[in-house]
Amino acid sequence: MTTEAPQVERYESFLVADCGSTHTTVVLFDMVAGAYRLIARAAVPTTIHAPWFDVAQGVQQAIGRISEITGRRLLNEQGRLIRPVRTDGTGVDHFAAVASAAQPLDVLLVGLFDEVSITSARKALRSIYHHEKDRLTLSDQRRPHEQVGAVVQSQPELILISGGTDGGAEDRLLQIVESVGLGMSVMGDSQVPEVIFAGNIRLRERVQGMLSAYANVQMANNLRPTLETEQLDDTVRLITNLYEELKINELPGAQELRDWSNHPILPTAHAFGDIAHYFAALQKQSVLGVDLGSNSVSLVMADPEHAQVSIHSELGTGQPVANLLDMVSIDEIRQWVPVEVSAAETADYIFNKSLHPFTLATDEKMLQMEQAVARTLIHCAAAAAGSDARWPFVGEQRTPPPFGLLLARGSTLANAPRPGQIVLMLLDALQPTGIFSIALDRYGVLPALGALASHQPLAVIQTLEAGVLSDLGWVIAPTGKGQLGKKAMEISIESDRVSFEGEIEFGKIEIFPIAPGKSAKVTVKPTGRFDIGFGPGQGKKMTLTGGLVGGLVVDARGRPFTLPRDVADRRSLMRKWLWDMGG
Amino acid sequence: MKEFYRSVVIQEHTKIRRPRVLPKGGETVVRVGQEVSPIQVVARTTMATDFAIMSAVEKLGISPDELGEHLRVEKGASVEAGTVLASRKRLLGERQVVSPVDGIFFDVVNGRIAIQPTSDWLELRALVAGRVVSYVSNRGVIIETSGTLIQAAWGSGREGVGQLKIVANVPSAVLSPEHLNLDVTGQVLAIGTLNDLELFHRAEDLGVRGLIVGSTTAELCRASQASPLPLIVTDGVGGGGMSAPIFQLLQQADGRSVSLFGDYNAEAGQRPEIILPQAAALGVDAVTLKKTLEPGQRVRILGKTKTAQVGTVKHIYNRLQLTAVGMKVPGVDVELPDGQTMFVPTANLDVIA
Repeated sequence: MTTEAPQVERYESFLVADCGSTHTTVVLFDMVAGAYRLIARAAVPTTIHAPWFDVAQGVQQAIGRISEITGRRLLNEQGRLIRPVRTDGTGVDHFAAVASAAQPLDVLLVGLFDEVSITSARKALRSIYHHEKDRLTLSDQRRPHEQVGAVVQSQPELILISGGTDGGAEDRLLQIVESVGLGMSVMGDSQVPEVIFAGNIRLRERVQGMLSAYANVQMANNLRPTLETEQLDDTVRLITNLYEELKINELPGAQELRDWSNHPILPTAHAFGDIAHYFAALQKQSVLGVDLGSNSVSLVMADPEHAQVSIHSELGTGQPVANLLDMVSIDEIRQWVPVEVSAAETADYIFNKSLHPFTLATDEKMLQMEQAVARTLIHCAAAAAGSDARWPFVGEQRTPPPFGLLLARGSTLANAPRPGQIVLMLLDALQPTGIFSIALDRYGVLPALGALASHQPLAVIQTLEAGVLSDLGWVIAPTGKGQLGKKAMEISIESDRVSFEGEIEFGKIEIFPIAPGKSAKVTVKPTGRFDIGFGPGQGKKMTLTGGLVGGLVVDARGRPFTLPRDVADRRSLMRKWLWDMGG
Repeated sequence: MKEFYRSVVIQEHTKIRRPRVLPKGGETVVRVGQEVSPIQVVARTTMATDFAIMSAVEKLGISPDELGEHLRVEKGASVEAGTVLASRKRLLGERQVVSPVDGIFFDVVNGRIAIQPTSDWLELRALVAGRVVSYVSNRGVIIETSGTLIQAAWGSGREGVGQLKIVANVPSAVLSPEHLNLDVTGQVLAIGTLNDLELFHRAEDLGVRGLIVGSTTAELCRASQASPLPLIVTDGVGGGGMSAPIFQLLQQADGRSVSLFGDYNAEAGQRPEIILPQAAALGVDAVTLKKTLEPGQRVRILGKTKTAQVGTVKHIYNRLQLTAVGMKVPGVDVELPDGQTMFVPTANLDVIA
């Protein structure tokens, strides 16, 4: 920080950096005509890896670009941020940063049963970016010396031990902990993992005694104090602290960014969770957030009281995308491509994308494969998050509980050439139900706003009001099944310019025109087999606003909808949906 | 302000330093300043994963706290198969815990004795000819060499060294059974494209030391990870052969020793590498990686269904350009070797260093 000029009293300006695994985005917020606005945004490649090994360089480069755009000098000759604003208008008052660029935390899971303690431990772990390297449980068929080898080979940064209800099983868990202890003694001083014990509280002293010679052991409340109860908060708090300490703070160059700020660097997914929570509290409704990142996929379910973040580091459009080839069949991905593409071609595309995550689609087939992969990634993340949070079943599939706003971000979504493609990707992947609007973070600023939300709510609300998000439009998606081609709903739309009455058949998705930014009175009357959230056959009158997609999207394909088995029929239907959505 | 772009190193006559590090602490067996050959062991450690573990307390019928007074050997002592590790006198005879293997009395954890077999050593070889310039604590060394360095796109996780053999004279050639009729045992083969998994396994059976290919298939990449035969892919997956600059460098080095560093951490931004050591010319220095994008810069084009195109930046657009699929992106015009010019998003470029 420089001290060459005295500061003056004035409104405050903010610069926020989002250090992603592939791109670093910096955003400048300042007051314009009495209200906060997004003044400029710049995105550059992240500089965490070779040849830079310094996350701050990318941030400085992006700030430099903002200076070029605005003509406002923000860095001094040494590349340090000028803070606070000087009398000559240079500098900025506050700086904050969020990051998802750090590598995930490598975790070894230890517990008794997959369906009980391990399930709860995984839920807790999905609050941070992590990789599950191995797990030791009672069902582990490996012999003791092989388990010891597994501990060493997994090279964990965190060993999370759960298992045993309070006052319940002791010996069997201790036997597994013995293997862990031996493994750690083999690992020696070169790699000392952290240990969190979140199991049977009666074992705390013995576990401490067995492991404290090799590692720092922290105690958390039992994840499963009884078979019927689950308490994740304490473990989530401890692993979040560990992630910030071991991963974010250890990012090369992070110290420079911390020196510029009065706040810690937040994990991006948590900042995204904060802004989703902010929306939920502001609008008094549930919000679903989807962040389709390069190195992870994060989902947020927020209501006015709290937000639940579910991070999936095994998924992502970048380097982890190759994991899809192990997680789902190639046909599950290929089914979403509306043009002819072979299984080998799809697999090659996915593998290549993992090698070159930055690359953009340059022809229609690649674009369709990219969007098919996006659908599958979001679907996989939603399936896991839905299972964790016990989303309601519709048919055999869990679907998100009703929400009023879907916040979406990620470069595959933001770079999609047409809004209809974005909406279709999200609807296909999530198969949500009810009445909701979709907002796209096209400029990648939502985590930045999330980082500001708790300190500067006025700046956040005014920036949002200024239209920093792309409003894609409203969607009505009923549950229910009907006969293909038979009426599912009647719809009437009245606005200043147009009056429309019509119906939609089961199996179709259509846009009913409302001009972007204009309001219209909409009346929806589903037939008895369909439910838009108010009971089967129950209609609703409401005032809705048109979005970029060009009107109200009515998705009458049923929940869950299934695609035709015949390849030609399926591609034809996909093309029709794409066409009907203006994609 | 200068902007740096992602760069890939495809460079001859360069100084190269490579760490060779054990997965855990051990001992370094070479000294700083020593010249090493590729197969020379530079560091070693005991294998960590094959312990013999005996539940001594169960065998002796005691509690873990009591075991100390019944131990017959100390921690760290060498033992042979049959050595009595612990014993307890009973009214009728004695109960004993004996070592099932030759090894070291490693530790006692909660009443269980662990013996680490002495026969299992993990030896780390230099992999590349060069000179040891420093130690990495007790885990390995840094070796300096000079020659050609090629950063590749993907590696199967295996390392290898051998004599380089170019099996076809064009970078677009596809490996065929005829190529493997040649004398390939003990050699590292280089070819434009490998599409046939059976040929990969045939090469493995023939004792090929490694494969360098421009492109291959996703199926082959995944299958090769289970094989000890190192596979390095220089350009990408999906066909298209090997990019011309890489092929030319390999062609020039035909018959020389080549080292394949295919064990890397992609998440940490590392890339697999091919190193072709050569006696250093005077003044040779390490390659400068921080390349900027400017007209005349050599670049590799990524993100095409066919890989391996290389060209020269002709024009950099100041404004976003509309692509064929309707995206607005920053980009450049690239002149290809055949004289054609094409627009390429900057996201789809590797700057060649």
